[in-house]
Amino acid sequence: MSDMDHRKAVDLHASERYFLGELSEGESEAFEAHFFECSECAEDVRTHAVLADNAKAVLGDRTFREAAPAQDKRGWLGAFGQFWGPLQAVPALAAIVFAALAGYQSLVLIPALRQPSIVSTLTLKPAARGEEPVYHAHKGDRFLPLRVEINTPQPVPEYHCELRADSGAVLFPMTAAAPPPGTPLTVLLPLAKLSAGHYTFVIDDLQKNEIEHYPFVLDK
Amino acid sequence: MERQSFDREYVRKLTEGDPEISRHFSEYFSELLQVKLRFRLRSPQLAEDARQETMLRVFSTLRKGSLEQPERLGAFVNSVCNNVIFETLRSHTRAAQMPENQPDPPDTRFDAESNLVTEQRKSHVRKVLESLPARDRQVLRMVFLEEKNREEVCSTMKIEGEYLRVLLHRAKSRLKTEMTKARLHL
Repeated sequence: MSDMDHRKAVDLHASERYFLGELSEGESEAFEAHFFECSECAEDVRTHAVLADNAKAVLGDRTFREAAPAQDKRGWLGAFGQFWGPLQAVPALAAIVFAALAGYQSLVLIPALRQPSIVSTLTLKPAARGEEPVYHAHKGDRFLPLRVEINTPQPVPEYHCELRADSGAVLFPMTAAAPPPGTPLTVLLPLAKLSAGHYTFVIDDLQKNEIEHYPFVLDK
Repeated sequence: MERQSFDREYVRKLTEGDPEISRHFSEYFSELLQVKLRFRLRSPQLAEDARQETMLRVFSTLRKGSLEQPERLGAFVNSVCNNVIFETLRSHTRAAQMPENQPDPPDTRFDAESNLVTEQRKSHVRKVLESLPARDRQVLRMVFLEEKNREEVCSTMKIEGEYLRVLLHRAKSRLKTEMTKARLHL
Protein backbone atom coordinates (compact mmCIF):
# COMPACT_ATOMS: atom_id res chain seq x y z
CA MET A 1 0.00 0.00 0.00
CA SER A 2 1.50 3.33 -1.02
CA ASP A 3 1.16 6.47 1.07
CA MET A 4 -1.24 9.18 0.07
CA ASP A 5 -0.92 12.78 1.19
CA HIS A 6 -3.54 15.48 0.81
CA ARG A 7 -2.07 16.92 -2.38
CA LYS A 8 -2.05 13.50 -4.01
CA ALA A 9 -5.62 12.80 -2.87
CA VAL A 10 -6.79 16.07 -4.43
CA ASP A 11 -4.83 15.60 -7.65
CA LEU A 12 -6.13 12.07 -8.00
CA HIS A 13 -9.76 13.15 -7.34
CA ALA A 14 -9.56 10.31 -4.86
CA SER A 15 -12.85 11.05 -3.13
CA GLU A 16 -14.96 10.86 -6.31
CA ARG A 17 -12.98 7.91 -7.66
CA TYR A 18 -13.29 6.01 -4.38
CA PHE A 19 -17.08 6.26 -4.53
CA LEU A 20 -17.14 5.33 -8.20
CA GLY A 21 -14.95 2.27 -7.52
CA GLU A 22 -12.25 3.60 -9.86
CA LEU A 23 -9.32 3.32 -7.45
CA SER A 24 -7.10 0.25 -7.41
CA GLU A 25 -7.05 -1.87 -4.26
CA GLY A 26 -3.81 -0.24 -3.13
CA GLU A 27 -5.08 3.27 -3.87
CA SER A 28 -8.35 2.57 -1.99
CA GLU A 29 -6.44 1.39 1.08
CA ALA A 30 -4.10 4.37 0.89
CA PHE A 31 -7.01 6.79 0.55
CA GLU A 32 -8.84 5.19 3.49
CA ALA A 33 -5.72 5.50 5.62
CA HIS A 34 -5.49 9.14 4.53
CA PHE A 35 -9.08 10.22 5.15
CA PHE A 36 -9.00 8.78 8.66
CA GLU A 37 -6.22 11.26 9.41
CA CYS A 38 -7.06 14.21 7.17
CA SER A 39 -10.03 16.22 8.42
CA GLU A 40 -10.51 17.89 5.02
CA CYS A 41 -10.74 14.62 3.12
CA ALA A 42 -12.86 13.12 5.91
CA GLU A 43 -15.35 15.94 5.37
CA ASP A 44 -15.24 15.33 1.64
CA VAL A 45 -15.94 11.63 2.08
CA ARG A 46 -18.75 12.36 4.51
CA THR A 47 -20.32 14.81 2.05
CA HIS A 48 -20.21 12.15 -0.65
CA ALA A 49 -21.88 9.65 1.66
CA VAL A 50 -24.59 12.15 2.64
CA LEU A 51 -25.14 13.01 -1.02
CA ALA A 52 -25.28 9.36 -2.09
CA ASP A 53 -27.65 8.12 0.59
CA ASN A 54 -29.96 11.12 0.50
CA ALA A 55 -29.97 11.27 -3.30
CA LYS A 56 -31.06 7.65 -3.33
CA ALA A 57 -33.90 8.50 -0.97
CA VAL A 58 -34.93 11.59 -2.97
CA LEU A 59 -34.67 9.98 -6.41
CA GLY A 60 -36.68 7.01 -5.18
CA ASP A 61 -39.46 9.33 -4.06
CA ARG A 62 -42.34 9.32 -6.54
CA THR A 63 -43.05 12.98 -5.96
CA PHE A 64 -39.63 13.93 -7.30
CA ARG A 65 -40.03 15.10 -10.86
CA GLU A 66 -38.75 12.68 -13.46
CA ALA A 67 -36.17 13.55 -16.08
CA ALA A 68 -37.65 14.91 -19.30
CA PRO A 69 -38.10 12.30 -22.04
CA ALA A 70 -35.40 12.22 -24.70
CA GLN A 71 -36.14 14.38 -27.73
CA ASP A 72 -35.94 13.38 -31.36
CA LYS A 73 -32.26 13.87 -32.13
CA ARG A 74 -32.68 13.87 -35.91
CA GLY A 75 -34.15 17.39 -35.89
CA TRP A 76 -34.53 19.72 -38.85
CA LEU A 77 -31.09 18.93 -40.30
CA GLY A 78 -31.96 15.24 -40.66
CA ALA A 79 -35.28 16.13 -42.27
CA PHE A 80 -33.46 18.48 -44.69
CA GLY A 81 -31.06 15.70 -45.69
CA GLN A 82 -33.92 13.29 -46.19
CA PHE A 83 -35.74 15.77 -48.48
CA TRP A 84 -32.73 16.64 -50.69
CA GLY A 85 -30.87 13.36 -50.58
CA PRO A 86 -27.40 13.16 -49.06
CA LEU A 87 -25.40 14.31 -52.12
CA GLN A 88 -27.48 17.38 -52.89
CA ALA A 89 -28.12 18.36 -49.31
CA VAL A 90 -24.62 19.64 -48.45
CA PRO A 91 -24.12 22.14 -51.35
CA ALA A 92 -27.75 23.24 -51.16
CA LEU A 93 -27.47 23.88 -47.46
CA ALA A 94 -24.13 25.70 -47.88
CA ALA A 95 -25.64 27.99 -50.52
CA ILE A 96 -28.64 28.80 -48.36
CA VAL A 97 -26.47 29.49 -45.32
CA PHE A 98 -24.09 31.73 -47.30
CA ALA A 99 -26.91 33.74 -48.86
CA ALA A 100 -28.66 34.14 -45.53
CA LEU A 101 -25.45 35.19 -43.77
CA ALA A 102 -24.49 37.76 -46.39
CA GLY A 103 -28.01 39.20 -46.45
CA TYR A 104 -28.27 39.32 -42.69
CA GLN A 105 -24.88 41.05 -42.31
CA SER A 106 -25.49 43.73 -44.91
CA LEU A 107 -29.17 44.39 -44.24
CA VAL A 108 -29.53 43.84 -40.51
CA LEU A 109 -26.41 43.35 -38.49
CA ILE A 110 -24.12 46.12 -39.72
CA PRO A 111 -26.82 48.87 -39.78
CA ALA A 112 -28.01 47.79 -36.35
CA LEU A 113 -24.51 47.91 -34.87
CA ARG A 114 -24.19 51.54 -36.01
CA GLN A 115 -27.26 52.59 -33.97
CA PRO A 116 -27.36 53.20 -30.21
CA SER A 117 -29.55 50.76 -28.30
CA ILE A 118 -30.87 50.23 -24.81
CA VAL A 119 -30.67 46.74 -23.39
CA SER A 120 -32.27 45.24 -20.33
CA THR A 121 -29.99 42.99 -18.31
CA LEU A 122 -30.72 39.95 -16.22
CA THR A 123 -29.20 40.27 -12.76
CA LEU A 124 -28.18 36.99 -11.19
CA LYS A 125 -27.76 37.02 -7.42
CA PRO A 126 -26.03 34.32 -5.40
CA ALA A 127 -28.55 34.07 -2.57
CA ALA A 128 -31.58 33.91 -4.89
CA ARG A 129 -34.18 31.45 -3.69
CA GLY A 130 -37.56 30.36 -4.96
CA GLU A 131 -38.56 31.28 -8.48
CA GLU A 132 -35.80 31.43 -11.06
CA PRO A 133 -35.34 34.85 -12.69
CA VAL A 134 -36.68 35.05 -16.24
CA TYR A 135 -35.17 36.94 -19.17
CA HIS A 136 -37.69 37.82 -21.86
CA ALA A 137 -35.82 38.14 -25.15
CA HIS A 138 -37.42 40.32 -27.80
CA LYS A 139 -37.29 40.04 -31.54
CA GLY A 140 -34.07 41.59 -32.76
CA ASP A 141 -32.16 41.09 -29.48
CA ARG A 142 -28.73 39.74 -30.24
CA PHE A 143 -27.34 39.18 -26.77
CA LEU A 144 -28.46 37.95 -23.41
CA PRO A 145 -26.72 40.40 -21.04
CA LEU A 146 -26.06 38.92 -17.60
CA ARG A 147 -24.96 40.90 -14.55
CA VAL A 148 -23.60 38.27 -12.22
CA GLU A 149 -23.16 39.21 -8.57
CA ILE A 150 -20.40 37.13 -7.02
CA ASN A 151 -20.28 36.84 -3.30
CA THR A 152 -17.18 34.94 -2.27
CA PRO A 153 -15.29 35.37 0.99
CA GLN A 154 -11.96 34.76 -0.74
CA PRO A 155 -11.79 36.60 -4.07
CA VAL A 156 -9.81 34.93 -6.82
CA PRO A 157 -8.11 36.73 -9.74
CA GLU A 158 -9.92 34.75 -12.43
CA TYR A 159 -13.06 32.69 -12.75
CA HIS A 160 -14.03 29.82 -14.97
CA CYS A 161 -17.57 30.39 -16.21
CA GLU A 162 -19.92 28.28 -18.28
CA LEU A 163 -23.58 28.03 -19.13
CA ARG A 164 -25.31 24.71 -18.61
CA ALA A 165 -28.46 23.91 -20.54
CA ASP A 166 -31.21 21.79 -19.04
CA SER A 167 -30.21 19.07 -21.51
CA GLY A 168 -26.80 18.83 -19.86
CA ALA A 169 -24.95 20.62 -22.65
CA VAL A 170 -22.13 22.89 -21.52
CA LEU A 171 -22.10 26.15 -23.48
CA PHE A 172 -19.62 29.00 -23.75
CA PRO A 173 -16.92 27.82 -21.31
CA MET A 174 -14.67 30.81 -20.68
CA THR A 175 -12.16 32.28 -18.28
CA ALA A 176 -12.97 35.75 -16.99
CA ALA A 177 -10.87 38.18 -15.00
CA ALA A 178 -12.53 38.96 -11.67
CA PRO A 179 -14.20 42.40 -11.63
CA PRO A 180 -13.26 44.91 -8.90
CA PRO A 181 -14.78 44.08 -5.48
CA GLY A 182 -18.46 45.01 -5.29
CA THR A 183 -18.81 45.10 -9.07
CA PRO A 184 -20.84 42.45 -10.86
CA LEU A 185 -19.40 40.38 -13.68
CA THR A 186 -21.03 41.37 -16.96
CA VAL A 187 -21.40 38.67 -19.58
CA LEU A 188 -22.96 38.89 -23.03
CA LEU A 189 -24.18 35.59 -24.43
CA PRO A 190 -25.23 35.27 -28.08
CA LEU A 191 -28.99 34.73 -28.09
CA ALA A 192 -28.89 33.10 -31.49
CA LYS A 193 -27.25 30.06 -29.94
CA LEU A 194 -29.77 29.75 -27.16
CA SER A 195 -33.25 28.36 -27.30
CA ALA A 196 -35.92 29.08 -24.71
CA GLY A 197 -35.59 27.03 -21.55
CA HIS A 198 -33.92 26.59 -18.20
CA TYR A 199 -30.22 27.35 -17.86
CA THR A 200 -27.68 27.55 -15.08
CA PHE A 201 -24.75 29.95 -15.19
CA VAL A 202 -21.91 28.38 -13.21
CA ILE A 203 -18.85 30.11 -11.80
CA ASP A 204 -15.92 28.00 -10.64
CA ASP A 205 -12.44 28.86 -9.54
CA LEU A 206 -9.69 27.76 -11.92
CA GLN A 207 -9.43 24.40 -10.12
CA LYS A 208 -13.07 23.82 -11.12
CA ASN A 209 -14.32 24.14 -7.54
CA GLU A 210 -17.75 25.67 -7.78
CA ILE A 211 -18.08 29.12 -6.31
CA GLU A 212 -21.69 29.76 -7.23
CA HIS A 213 -24.40 28.71 -9.66
CA TYR A 214 -27.32 30.78 -10.90
CA PRO A 215 -30.35 29.10 -12.42
CA PHE A 216 -32.52 31.22 -14.70
CA VAL A 217 -35.10 30.90 -17.45
CA LEU A 218 -34.79 32.25 -20.98
CA ASP A 219 -38.06 33.14 -22.63
CA LYS A 220 -37.93 33.76 -26.39
CA MET B 1 -19.59 18.26 11.88
CA GLU B 2 -16.66 20.43 12.95
CA ARG B 3 -13.32 19.52 11.52
CA GLN B 4 -11.10 17.93 14.10
CA SER B 5 -7.47 17.46 14.95
CA PHE B 6 -6.67 15.14 17.79
CA ASP B 7 -4.26 15.72 20.67
CA ARG B 8 -3.36 14.31 24.09
CA GLU B 9 -6.08 16.38 25.78
CA TYR B 10 -8.77 15.05 23.44
CA VAL B 11 -7.68 11.45 24.02
CA ARG B 12 -7.47 11.99 27.79
CA LYS B 13 -11.03 13.35 27.93
CA LEU B 14 -12.22 10.54 25.68
CA THR B 15 -10.60 7.95 27.93
CA GLU B 16 -12.17 9.54 31.00
CA GLY B 17 -15.59 9.38 29.37
CA ASP B 18 -16.16 13.12 28.87
CA PRO B 19 -19.71 13.10 27.38
CA GLU B 20 -19.13 15.84 24.79
CA ILE B 21 -15.85 14.39 23.51
CA SER B 22 -17.27 10.86 23.52
CA ARG B 23 -20.26 12.01 21.47
CA HIS B 24 -18.00 13.84 19.02
CA PHE B 25 -15.67 10.87 18.68
CA SER B 26 -18.54 8.49 18.12
CA GLU B 27 -20.23 10.69 15.47
CA TYR B 28 -17.02 11.61 13.69
CA PHE B 29 -15.65 8.10 13.31
CA SER B 30 -18.96 6.26 12.99
CA GLU B 31 -19.68 7.91 9.66
CA LEU B 32 -16.18 7.35 8.32
CA LEU B 33 -16.28 3.74 9.44
CA GLN B 34 -19.69 3.36 7.87
CA VAL B 35 -18.37 4.56 4.51
CA LYS B 36 -15.33 2.30 4.61
CA LEU B 37 -17.14 -0.77 5.92
CA ARG B 38 -19.99 -0.55 3.42
CA PHE B 39 -17.41 -0.23 0.67
CA ARG B 40 -15.43 -3.21 1.95
CA LEU B 41 -18.10 -5.56 3.26
CA ARG B 42 -21.09 -4.61 1.07
CA SER B 43 -23.65 -6.07 3.48
CA PRO B 44 -25.17 -3.32 5.69
CA GLN B 45 -25.65 -5.78 8.55
CA LEU B 46 -22.03 -6.98 8.45
CA ALA B 47 -20.88 -3.37 8.17
CA GLU B 48 -22.89 -2.33 11.21
CA ASP B 49 -21.59 -5.27 13.27
CA ALA B 50 -18.03 -4.45 12.22
CA ARG B 51 -18.51 -0.77 13.07
CA GLN B 52 -19.68 -1.61 16.57
CA GLU B 53 -16.84 -4.08 17.07
CA THR B 54 -14.29 -1.51 15.89
CA MET B 55 -15.60 1.17 18.27
CA LEU B 56 -15.60 -1.33 21.14
CA ARG B 57 -11.98 -2.33 20.52
CA VAL B 58 -10.85 1.27 20.14
CA PHE B 59 -12.47 2.30 23.45
CA SER B 60 -11.07 -0.76 25.16
CA THR B 61 -7.51 0.00 23.98
CA LEU B 62 -7.80 3.68 24.91
CA ARG B 63 -8.96 2.85 28.41
CA LYS B 64 -5.84 0.75 28.86
CA GLY B 65 -3.88 3.89 27.98
CA SER B 66 -1.97 2.20 25.19
CA LEU B 67 -2.20 4.90 22.48
CA GLU B 68 1.31 6.35 22.22
CA GLN B 69 0.63 8.98 19.54
CA PRO B 70 -2.68 10.73 20.28
CA GLU B 71 -2.39 12.85 17.12
CA ARG B 72 -2.60 9.62 15.13
CA LEU B 73 -5.95 8.60 16.61
CA GLY B 74 -7.49 8.43 13.13
CA ALA B 75 -4.79 6.07 11.88
CA PHE B 76 -5.32 3.92 14.96
CA VAL B 77 -9.09 3.67 14.37
CA ASN B 78 -8.42 2.77 10.73
CA SER B 79 -5.97 0.01 11.65
CA VAL B 80 -8.39 -1.49 14.20
CA CYS B 81 -11.08 -1.38 11.50
CA ASN B 82 -8.75 -3.18 9.07
CA ASN B 83 -8.27 -5.98 11.61
CA VAL B 84 -12.02 -6.27 12.15
CA ILE B 85 -12.63 -6.41 8.38
CA PHE B 86 -10.00 -9.10 7.97
CA GLU B 87 -11.52 -11.21 10.76
CA THR B 88 -15.07 -10.67 9.48
CA LEU B 89 -14.17 -11.76 5.96
CA ARG B 90 -12.21 -14.75 7.24
CA SER B 91 -15.00 -15.97 9.52
CA HIS B 92 -17.60 -15.57 6.78
CA THR B 93 -15.45 -17.35 4.24
CA ARG B 94 -15.04 -20.23 6.66
CA ALA B 95 -18.71 -20.31 7.59
CA ALA B 96 -20.10 -20.40 4.07
CA GLN B 97 -18.19 -20.75 0.85
CA MET B 98 -20.19 -19.15 -1.93
CA PRO B 99 -21.00 -21.40 -4.86
CA GLU B 100 -19.18 -20.45 -8.05
CA ASN B 101 -22.28 -19.37 -9.94
CA GLN B 102 -23.72 -17.35 -7.11
CA PRO B 103 -24.86 -13.94 -8.43
CA ASP B 104 -23.06 -10.90 -7.02
CA PRO B 105 -24.65 -9.56 -3.87
CA PRO B 106 -26.39 -6.23 -4.31
CA ASP B 107 -24.20 -3.17 -4.05
CA THR B 108 -25.35 -1.55 -0.87
CA ARG B 109 -22.85 1.26 -0.64
CA PHE B 110 -25.64 3.80 -0.89
CA ASP B 111 -28.40 3.01 1.50
CA ALA B 112 -31.57 5.08 1.65
CA GLU B 113 -32.33 3.67 5.09
CA SER B 114 -28.93 4.62 6.51
CA ASN B 115 -28.55 6.95 9.45
CA LEU B 116 -27.01 9.50 7.09
CA VAL B 117 -30.49 10.19 5.71
CA THR B 118 -32.44 12.91 7.51
CA GLU B 119 -35.33 15.08 6.36
CA GLN B 120 -33.12 18.16 6.50
CA ARG B 121 -30.38 16.59 4.41
CA LYS B 122 -32.94 15.20 1.96
CA SER B 123 -34.36 18.66 1.48
CA HIS B 124 -30.91 20.08 0.65
CA VAL B 125 -30.05 17.20 -1.66
CA ARG B 126 -33.43 17.61 -3.39
CA LYS B 127 -32.57 21.26 -4.01
CA VAL B 128 -29.18 20.30 -5.43
CA LEU B 129 -30.72 17.67 -7.71
CA GLU B 130 -33.38 20.09 -8.94
CA SER B 131 -30.71 22.65 -9.80
CA LEU B 132 -29.01 20.19 -12.16
CA PRO B 133 -29.89 19.76 -15.82
CA ALA B 134 -32.27 16.86 -16.49
CA ARG B 135 -29.56 14.79 -18.13
CA ASP B 136 -27.24 15.10 -15.14
CA ARG B 137 -30.09 14.06 -12.86
CA GLN B 138 -30.60 11.03 -15.03
CA VAL B 139 -26.91 10.16 -14.69
CA LEU B 140 -27.08 10.47 -10.90
CA ARG B 141 -30.27 8.40 -10.84
CA MET B 142 -28.37 5.59 -12.58
CA VAL B 143 -25.46 5.89 -10.16
CA PHE B 144 -27.27 6.29 -6.86
CA LEU B 145 -30.71 4.73 -7.30
CA GLU B 146 -30.26 2.11 -9.98
CA GLU B 147 -26.70 1.38 -8.77
CA LYS B 148 -25.37 0.85 -12.28
CA ASN B 149 -21.63 0.53 -12.50
CA ARG B 150 -19.51 3.30 -13.97
CA GLU B 151 -19.01 1.61 -17.36
CA GLU B 152 -22.73 1.04 -17.82
CA VAL B 153 -23.62 4.62 -16.90
CA CYS B 154 -21.00 6.06 -19.25
CA SER B 155 -22.00 3.79 -22.11
CA THR B 156 -25.77 4.36 -21.72
CA MET B 157 -25.50 8.11 -21.30
CA LYS B 158 -22.65 8.46 -23.81
CA ILE B 159 -20.42 10.31 -21.40
CA GLU B 160 -16.76 10.00 -20.43
CA GLY B 161 -15.66 8.79 -16.99
CA GLU B 162 -14.20 12.26 -16.45
CA TYR B 163 -17.65 13.82 -16.93
CA LEU B 164 -19.07 11.51 -14.28
CA ARG B 165 -16.33 12.49 -11.82
CA VAL B 166 -16.86 16.19 -12.49
CA LEU B 167 -20.62 15.78 -12.08
CA LEU B 168 -20.17 14.09 -8.71
CA HIS B 169 -17.70 16.77 -7.66
CA ARG B 170 -20.11 19.50 -8.73
CA ALA B 171 -23.08 17.96 -6.93
CA LYS B 172 -20.98 17.52 -3.80
CA SER B 173 -19.77 21.15 -3.95
CA ARG B 174 -23.33 22.38 -4.35
CA LEU B 175 -24.42 20.33 -1.37
CA LYS B 176 -21.59 21.81 0.72
CA THR B 177 -22.64 25.29 -0.39
CA GLU B 178 -26.29 24.61 0.46
CA MET B 179 -25.38 23.29 3.90
CA THR B 180 -23.05 26.21 4.54
CA LYS B 181 -25.71 28.73 3.53
CA ALA B 182 -28.16 27.04 5.85
CA ARG B 183 -25.43 27.05 8.53
CA LEU B 184 -25.73 23.31 8.90
CA HIS B 185 -22.90 20.93 9.57
CA LEU B 186 -22.81 17.71 7.66
